Amino acid sequence: MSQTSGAGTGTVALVGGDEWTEPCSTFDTRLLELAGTDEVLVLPAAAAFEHPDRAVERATRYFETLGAKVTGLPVVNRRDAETDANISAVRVAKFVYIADGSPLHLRSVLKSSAFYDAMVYAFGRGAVIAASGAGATVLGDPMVDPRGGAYTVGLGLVPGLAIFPYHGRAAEHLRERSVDLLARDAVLVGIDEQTALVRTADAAWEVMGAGGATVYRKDSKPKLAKSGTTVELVTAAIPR
Amino acid sequence: MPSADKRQRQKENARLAREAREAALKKRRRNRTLRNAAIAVGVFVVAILLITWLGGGSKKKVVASPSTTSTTIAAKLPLSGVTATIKGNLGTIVIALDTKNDPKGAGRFVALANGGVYNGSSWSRIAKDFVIQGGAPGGDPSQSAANQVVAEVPKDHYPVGSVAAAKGPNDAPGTFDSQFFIVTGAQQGATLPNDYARFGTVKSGMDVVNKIAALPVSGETPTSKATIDSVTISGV
Repeated sequence: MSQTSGAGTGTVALVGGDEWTEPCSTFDTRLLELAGTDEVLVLPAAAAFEHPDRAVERATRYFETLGAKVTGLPVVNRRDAETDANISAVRVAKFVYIADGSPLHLRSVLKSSAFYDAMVYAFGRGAVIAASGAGATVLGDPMVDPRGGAYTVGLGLVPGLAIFPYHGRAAEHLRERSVDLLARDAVLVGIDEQTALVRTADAAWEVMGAGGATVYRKDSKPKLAKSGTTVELVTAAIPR
Repeated sequence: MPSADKRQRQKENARLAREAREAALKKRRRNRTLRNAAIAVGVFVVAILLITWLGGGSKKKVVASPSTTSTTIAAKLPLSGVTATIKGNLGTIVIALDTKNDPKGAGRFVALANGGVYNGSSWSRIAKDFVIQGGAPGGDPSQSAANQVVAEVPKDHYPVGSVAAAKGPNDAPGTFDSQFFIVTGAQQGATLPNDYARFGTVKSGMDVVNKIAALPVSGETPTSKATIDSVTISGV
């Protein structure tokens, strides 16, 4: 697991759910600035079973209000993640937004795929990778299995960090289970809805949006980081 | 002075004229009665045709799209004894619909089933130890039935065999388009947030559910076909 950061990496934004709603506009505007583009690629793979087209439509309407244009990537299964056109599109992207849905399906689509490698390549060249709900969950490693709160293997764009979205309204027993099962060397961060935990290239993690982020470590008291503050966490991986 | 014969003829002529007037009057009355009766029958027939056409006919199929249809059906469903029989290539599953606790969800399901939306669909998602999910029109998860509804949600989660409406993460709790899922994992069902309209329970055919759940997958997409050929409603 890489725990260091370096120049040249992009920005990762972990959103706690309820993405593309008005309270998110503060951090999404900032993300567009950081990306240096008004074009957003939306990956709807996690929503494959519940109208991926609607996810793209919602993103389109929302980003239009921010003066940006959305392109939906037709990636909903493993075959799509090995398609040259999709791989080429994400490789040169400056802003990729991973939509919410089924984390386990999303992981299966992306893990060890050419598409994911190309996305990491773009990230290494400075792209913004934003991910909400299931998307945020999958970028960590270990990864919270939403079905029971236990841990499984994630994609590891953010190694050593487990992400718990919808922290504000999740059932208490699920939070407790994830905290109880947390490994000693891992960190769990619960991110509230309409809130982003954003790590820029200078390795600072900043909480932005409507709620907060709560950091859990084994045998320590939880620490709440409110919107507008920074928090010390592991860093995103450096792509090779 | 007129003679007696002349007076007799005048009286006879007057009687004939009176009888002619009375006959003409009777004829006009009879014609009016017939006309009125014809009008009444016409109005009645038109009314019957209109009622039948607009939905009063017992053999008319329920259209799938209007949410008002689901609501109407929900209001008419008995509180127990309504079942849905799902037939597919791997066997038959019978669902006991929970018309008491989730009348809107059950009503929606009945409307879609009677409208034929589920015929030719499939089980398009298999999440191991969690759920099997299907019911998209034509088996295509990007398709939807029009005018989704928001139905009742439970308070005690989803035991194995629960049947509930699938929805996207950004849809309101209880949203029911057309897709539904059957819970196959005890722990996962017990921790699933109470955000999904639970409109039924598997009454028989859990072995078929488990057969579907055991199919090979790529991600959560089955790599061999599990069809939903038809859904029929009984007990209504």
